[in-house]
Amino acid sequence: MIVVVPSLVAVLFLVSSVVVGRLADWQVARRAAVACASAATILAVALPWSGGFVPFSPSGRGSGPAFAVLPEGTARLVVVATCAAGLLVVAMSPLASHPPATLARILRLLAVSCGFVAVRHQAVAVVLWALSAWLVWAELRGHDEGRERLDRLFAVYHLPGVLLLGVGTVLSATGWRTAGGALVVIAIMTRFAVVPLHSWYPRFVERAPLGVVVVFATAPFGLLTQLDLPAPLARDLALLGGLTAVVAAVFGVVQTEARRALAFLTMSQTGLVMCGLGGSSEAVSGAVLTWEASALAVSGLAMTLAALEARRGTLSLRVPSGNFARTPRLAVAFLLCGLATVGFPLSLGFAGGHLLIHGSVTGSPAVWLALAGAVGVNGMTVMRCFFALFAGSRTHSGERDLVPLETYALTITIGALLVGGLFPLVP
Amino acid sequence: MSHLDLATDVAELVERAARLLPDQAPLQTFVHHNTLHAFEHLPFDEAVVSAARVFGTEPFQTETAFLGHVESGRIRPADLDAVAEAEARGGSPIVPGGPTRARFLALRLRHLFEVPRGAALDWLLLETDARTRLTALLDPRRRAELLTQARRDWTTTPEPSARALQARLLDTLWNSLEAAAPLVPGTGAVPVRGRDRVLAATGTDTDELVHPLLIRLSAAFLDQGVAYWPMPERERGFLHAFRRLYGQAGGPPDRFLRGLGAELRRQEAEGWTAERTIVTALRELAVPEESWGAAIEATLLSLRGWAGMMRQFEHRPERAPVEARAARLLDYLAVQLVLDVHAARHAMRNHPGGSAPDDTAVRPGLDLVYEAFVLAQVMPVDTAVLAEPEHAAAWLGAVASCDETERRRLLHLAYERRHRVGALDALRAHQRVVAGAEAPPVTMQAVFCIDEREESLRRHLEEHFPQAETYGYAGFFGVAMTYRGVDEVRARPLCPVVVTPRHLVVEESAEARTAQRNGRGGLSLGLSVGSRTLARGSVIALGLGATQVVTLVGRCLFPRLFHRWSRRLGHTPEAVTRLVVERAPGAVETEGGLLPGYSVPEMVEVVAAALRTTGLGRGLAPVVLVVGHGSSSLNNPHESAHDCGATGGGRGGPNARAFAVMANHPGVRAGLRDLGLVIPDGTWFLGAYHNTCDDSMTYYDEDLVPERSRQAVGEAKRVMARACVLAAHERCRRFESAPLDLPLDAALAHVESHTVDLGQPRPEYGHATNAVAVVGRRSRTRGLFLDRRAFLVSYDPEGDPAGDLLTNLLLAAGPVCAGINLEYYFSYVDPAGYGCGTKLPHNIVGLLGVMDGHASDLRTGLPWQMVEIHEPVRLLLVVEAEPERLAAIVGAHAVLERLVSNGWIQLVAWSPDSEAMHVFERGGFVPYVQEGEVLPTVHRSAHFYAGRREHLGFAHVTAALGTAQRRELVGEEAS
Amino acid sequence: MSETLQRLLLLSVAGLPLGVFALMGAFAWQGRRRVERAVSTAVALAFGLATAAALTLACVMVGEGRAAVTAPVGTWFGSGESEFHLLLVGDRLSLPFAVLAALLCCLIGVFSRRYLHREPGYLRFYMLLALFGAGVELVTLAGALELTLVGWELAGLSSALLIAFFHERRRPVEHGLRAFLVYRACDVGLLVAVVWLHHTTGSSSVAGTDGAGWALFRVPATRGDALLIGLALLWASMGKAAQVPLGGWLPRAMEGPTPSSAVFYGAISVSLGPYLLLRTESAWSGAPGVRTAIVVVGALTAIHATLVGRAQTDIKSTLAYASMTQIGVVLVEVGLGLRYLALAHLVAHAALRSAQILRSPSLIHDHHHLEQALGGPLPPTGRHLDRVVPRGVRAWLYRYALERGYFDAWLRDHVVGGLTRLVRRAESLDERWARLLSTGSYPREGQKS
Repeated sequence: MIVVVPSLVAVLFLVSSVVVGRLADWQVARRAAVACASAATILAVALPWSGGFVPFSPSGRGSGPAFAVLPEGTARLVVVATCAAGLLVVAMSPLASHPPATLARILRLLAVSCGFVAVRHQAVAVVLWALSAWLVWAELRGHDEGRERLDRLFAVYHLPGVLLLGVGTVLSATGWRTAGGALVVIAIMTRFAVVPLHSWYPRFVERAPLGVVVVFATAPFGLLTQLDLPAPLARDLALLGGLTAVVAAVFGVVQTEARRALAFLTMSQTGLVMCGLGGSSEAVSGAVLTWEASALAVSGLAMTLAALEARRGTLSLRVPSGNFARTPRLAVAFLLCGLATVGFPLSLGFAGGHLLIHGSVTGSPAVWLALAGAVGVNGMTVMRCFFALFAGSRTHSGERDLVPLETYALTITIGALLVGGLFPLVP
Repeated sequence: MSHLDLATDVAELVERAARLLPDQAPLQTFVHHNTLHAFEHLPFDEAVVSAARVFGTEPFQTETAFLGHVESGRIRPADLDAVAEAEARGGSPIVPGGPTRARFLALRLRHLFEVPRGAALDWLLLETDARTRLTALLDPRRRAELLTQARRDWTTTPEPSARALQARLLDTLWNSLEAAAPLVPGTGAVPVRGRDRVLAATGTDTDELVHPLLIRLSAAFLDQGVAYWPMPERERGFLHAFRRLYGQAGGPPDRFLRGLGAELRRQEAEGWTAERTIVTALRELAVPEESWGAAIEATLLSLRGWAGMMRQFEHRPERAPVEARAARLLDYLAVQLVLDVHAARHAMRNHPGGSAPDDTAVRPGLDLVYEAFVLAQVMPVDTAVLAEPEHAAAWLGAVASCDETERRRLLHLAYERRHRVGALDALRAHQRVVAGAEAPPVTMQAVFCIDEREESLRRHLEEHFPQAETYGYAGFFGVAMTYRGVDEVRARPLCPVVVTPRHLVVEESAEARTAQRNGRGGLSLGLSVGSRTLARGSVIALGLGATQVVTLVGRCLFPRLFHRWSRRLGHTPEAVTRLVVERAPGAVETEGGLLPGYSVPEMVEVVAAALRTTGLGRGLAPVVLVVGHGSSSLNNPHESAHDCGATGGGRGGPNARAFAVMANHPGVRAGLRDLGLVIPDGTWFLGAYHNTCDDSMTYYDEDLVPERSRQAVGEAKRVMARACVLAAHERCRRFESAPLDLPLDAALAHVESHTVDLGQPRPEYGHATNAVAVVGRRSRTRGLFLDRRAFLVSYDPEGDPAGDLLTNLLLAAGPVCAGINLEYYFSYVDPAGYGCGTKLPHNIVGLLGVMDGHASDLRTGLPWQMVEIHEPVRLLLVVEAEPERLAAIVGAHAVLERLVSNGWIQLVAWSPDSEAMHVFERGGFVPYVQEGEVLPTVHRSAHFYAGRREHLGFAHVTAALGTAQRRELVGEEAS
Repeated sequence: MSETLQRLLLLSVAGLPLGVFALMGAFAWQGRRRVERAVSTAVALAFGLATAAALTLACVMVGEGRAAVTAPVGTWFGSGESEFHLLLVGDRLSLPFAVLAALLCCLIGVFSRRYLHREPGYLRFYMLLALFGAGVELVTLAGALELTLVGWELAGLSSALLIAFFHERRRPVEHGLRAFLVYRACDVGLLVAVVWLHHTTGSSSVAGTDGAGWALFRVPATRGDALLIGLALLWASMGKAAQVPLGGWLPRAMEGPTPSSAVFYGAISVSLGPYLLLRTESAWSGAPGVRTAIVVVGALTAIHATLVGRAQTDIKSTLAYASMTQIGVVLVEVGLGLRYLALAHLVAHAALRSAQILRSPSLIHDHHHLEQALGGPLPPTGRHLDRVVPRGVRAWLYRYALERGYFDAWLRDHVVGGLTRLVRRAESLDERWARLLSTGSYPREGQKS
């Protein structure tokens, strides 16, 4: 089935990626990318509202692909969240680590993310999956010159991942549901950095451009919503997700580098979502809400981190060494996004986390207690990062606060998180 | 070297390091002093810079602050030019066609902008158009000039856009500067202490482990009565108490303290001295012997407040607020080093190996390039010239030579210059106004402290009542005594810190103290201690909690009313008391070698000195008020910093009272007559006390006023009360809490509410804004609006042919005023490093001092709320004397010599008979050339300050002057 | 008084501070500078009105003889079993406490107007005060435990940020973080309690009132459930109430401006712990084990804190331990079921302690006056200890007090430190694995750079 709105958005991203990649002036390139992402977001938000305007109805049943204007169910939110995250990423990517070529790749990755929702077909999904991994790998290859090569580590994990997914999909389609499902689960674990297949992820976050990291993370959720796994496998996946949530939370809170802390925080959040997806209907809606919040909040968190890093160099959490008064908005944005990530009250994440834990209580008691603990520990990580990065120092190196472009993107994101927190749309 | 040598060496090294420690006594006896007393042997600007290096502090105001001053006109272009010219005279252009060095400096100081460092700079260059657009600092003319330069290089037609022109010009400029930029090594600090080495090797700061414990221990050891349980065995010294406590088995579970107990037990058993402990520790910390001095210095400075307090207790045990302790800095250092050793062992044990990132990498100084890049746009330089590598290098060199510290130094000079010019011009201009005028008939005289806070009261008194004459005399009035009031528990010295008092004066009451009073004391003690305990606390909380709601509401919403009510409830009538000033015949020395009271000849000496020095003896009025001062306020740990500096941080009321008693003494008057100083029989001296916080006056011994003086005294009190209202009103303009149109009647209530309000961190601004000291006749400054910024010392040059009186005055007043001024200077320029920061989180510890919050170093210096309106300039000391005499006096006394030659104060000689002024500069007096601005003339001070909060200039106030002068001035204004 | 009006009043108690906070937050994000006066007036007014509203409600309740006022606002989100109800309850427990909290916040709002005048963080302080007040009122009035959780977290966050108010120094930041970590660890207890109560009884909202006018929650079916819920709630309240062994953050929390220390750590914030237990008494009273645990924790804390407090040499730590002592006593009262005594004790203690902390900068002044009033130096304290306790034990006790019962060291070096070391070890293994994959070979000795 082909869905019109996401397809339009994806095409928009693709076209603009070509344009952006060719612009010589870096600042102009970024402005162009922001304009495109804004247009895409408006498209994604506005088109569904003009519901009456449907030039072609899904009539071509039987012959050729089916058409729909909008994806159904939870996937509907995927496009909006992806676009919003994309807007944030392109607006806040520091030029030093995100030259136009990287920006173009980010736009392509966004197109791929939308593609998952635009064309709903197993084979297409596998291709898109491979495509996104390839795009990131290509980015890393140009990026890393040292002896310890990140692209190599990435390939070691993702090449088998893509292959397993392909094989698994074929097997499932040909009737070997359990075996195929198992392969698919392994592929997903690789992609989502589920313990124990996670070793690539902290290094990836540590060294890759953060914009790429964020966009790569937004991509596969579109896929998750259309997965059709056998029930026992789904439950195992959920358990592993819960395990990841806890382990990553504990790892995250003791990190001394900001990016690594972010990596484990993200892993933990992903784990939470996966855990919820395998649970009761309540837990599923909680998980989807959490994902929505994460897509925005984690992106916000990561990109504020990137913005800070561009201003201050490598960020360590060993001792508090920031000056809040110097970059108050950046600090507040970081804190709000961080708190929204961990489901603090009055943010979108709260409703999600609440439903998630309430929903998972019907499962085994160990799981929901662990989830509650993970949520608590993630909160500690966020606060620790905030204090270490934005407080504790009288001196500064002359860094500046958010520029208008960044403020624009963050206002939208934070506004969405807060308004969403007050009026959550529970799927 | 043998063991013994090392030990004596160590003691000496500690002694040397101790000089750098803050010299602040416990808060009860706060005395202003030069924060950088240890650096006084250096010239001021060198001293502040090297102190900044040692303490990690700021030498001058920040560049941002100076930028504000330049923009607001506080620093004028003329000042910048003058400073630049004095710094570098003439010379050739830095690069062909460019500015000379002096011009460069003058322009550099006009264009202050932020130069980010490291990543922040990279960000700025990449993310903003700093490299592609001309800077916003440019004026239109220079902008056009630059565009012309850009066009010159562009050969193709059609001409590109202005944007492209700029971009290319700037790109070329940047590249040529970057190519010529020198490489700078990173900031690899040289490790001095063992802790520095461990930090560099493992990234663990062992101070983080050691300091909290050391703070706890020091506070417990020195505590003057906050803790319910005292530290056991502290009477045997710090090191001993520490060994007893932590040498016990079952030590604290902190990992870094593992093995401490055993080691302490061993040391105690073997009878290790502090010196031996220090030597062993330094060896284990692998400090090479030649740098032990530096290591000890750095170790003590790492927690300098507490180390300084230990030293205070060691050196001046008599200044302990409640009880002295057997403190020794050596003991303290031994404890710190023992803990350092353990922490270092722990850090090394736990470190996985490898080393922290190397910070000594070499990179081109991009920040310098950026600075030079912006300056090349701003200053009149041909950018094409800079394409030559040697010119680019010269340009970079010039930019680098005017680094931030240098700029701040020059800006500071310009800042001070503006103030100096204003003050000296005003004094000269005013002199013409007062010269040769007839004096109004004098019916009352008042002697105040020289304190600059009394300036407004004196001025208002003279304005309101022109028949009054005022004098300034150091606020202990020559009565250097140890004093015990009737309510006081212990006697305290009331005289300058440098003087050791030899006389004990007590206040005695006729009646016995009432039992009721004691009972109430016991009750409130019981409540304040009991409320913190378990069982009593529960009962008190349950019983008193409800009443506390009333207290809270009262204190928060109606502080002044509430205070009055609660005072009324607990009011006891004041008993009549007398000072025992005269020594009874046959009295013997008391405790501490103090003589009870004064003998008559001694009193004569005290009174004669005052009469002669001030010139008061020339003609006495029927009433002479002698006004001491002090300050009392709630919510103010630094209360005694607002008291009188001349009484060593005490309240000068008793001194004034004692002086009045002496001057009224018939025997003393007879003695004076023998010296040729006649006090008419109709003259009565009345002691008084001025509370500078709520501007109230207290008069002493009024019942002794003879009948014939009653009326005059009553009149004097009346006009003084009015002057207090006027002075309070002037003071209110500085408080943002007071509206600018505050009615006169509300002024006293307003300042009173500042005094009694728990929520008021600014009871008064103290000495803030002090800047000038004038030693000379009041008649020369009478009627000049000095904005409460000038210490006024009365000195009559005519009565001092030999200059002895002046010498004594300068020796007393010079260091005191300089101390006050410099303490404010440093607390203002670095509120966190030299001052004690904002008051809001202050936490009183041990009744000794304040910490920031829970457990920090003991904070010395002044709180920000006390200095926030200060103008950090060095004291401008104007002395009514010929420069030759002044130079001789200064040269003969090392104290003054150090202050003046090293530029810790600015000295000006003001000829007694002409308006000539000579400023002390670079080792000699040079004539001062007036810049000449006409001062505003107003009738009353209020007309001048009304509606303004900021620092004001000077003005002639005609109400205080005789009618003739008034006419003259008004005429001038009309014409 | 009409039902609607009462509901509106109840809503305004928590809603006004929250609204003011949101408004100020929006302005602050826009970057507009507000004048001090406007900021403090808005906050003080909001709390003043909240006080008035709560007082009116209390009067109405007493006057009309009603047991409780409830204000159901509806469902926030969720459906079926996991519905999130917005329900506020004013009863004999919550209204007095709501009045106290709003009144103290209002007074501090007025007080700080002078105290924080010209402070760069003026707006921040008032925003956090408003957020804290809103959080406390939510906890106080919440008729659904989920809502308590919301208020609980808001109060915790604003506390931590206020401790770190002077963000340019490291200590306040570290201590703020420490308080937050303890809070957060204990919040998990509340979360667990909420979820489990909801799960076992089907609802975590107030179900009615008992004869004495205290709102009741549904009682869990089995004693085991009640025990779990009770212990989880105790754990939650131990963090906020600074009970043994978690209380080390309390003296450290005295880093913020004096007014916030007074109202938070002397009074309201630490009282939230016992309050939570009082509020939820009906849910855990079925399990006697919980009562015992509460009494034990409270008694241990009281004894520990009174010992430790006696060796403290700075006024704010002394007062912090005095607070801890009294809160321990209140917990004992709660555990023994003396709920009116506990409530009275809580309220009275809050007022007394805030007044004392506000006055703490006048210590030297007061000491001087006390000496004058007594006519001599203050008598030495702690002498009876010398007589009763042998020398060795005395020194040991003193060190125990000076080291604050060693709890901090245990927590830092052994509990948290142990966990950290374990994680680091695991991480270094992981790191080696990743390096192997990314270089394609084990790092050999020769290749080590």
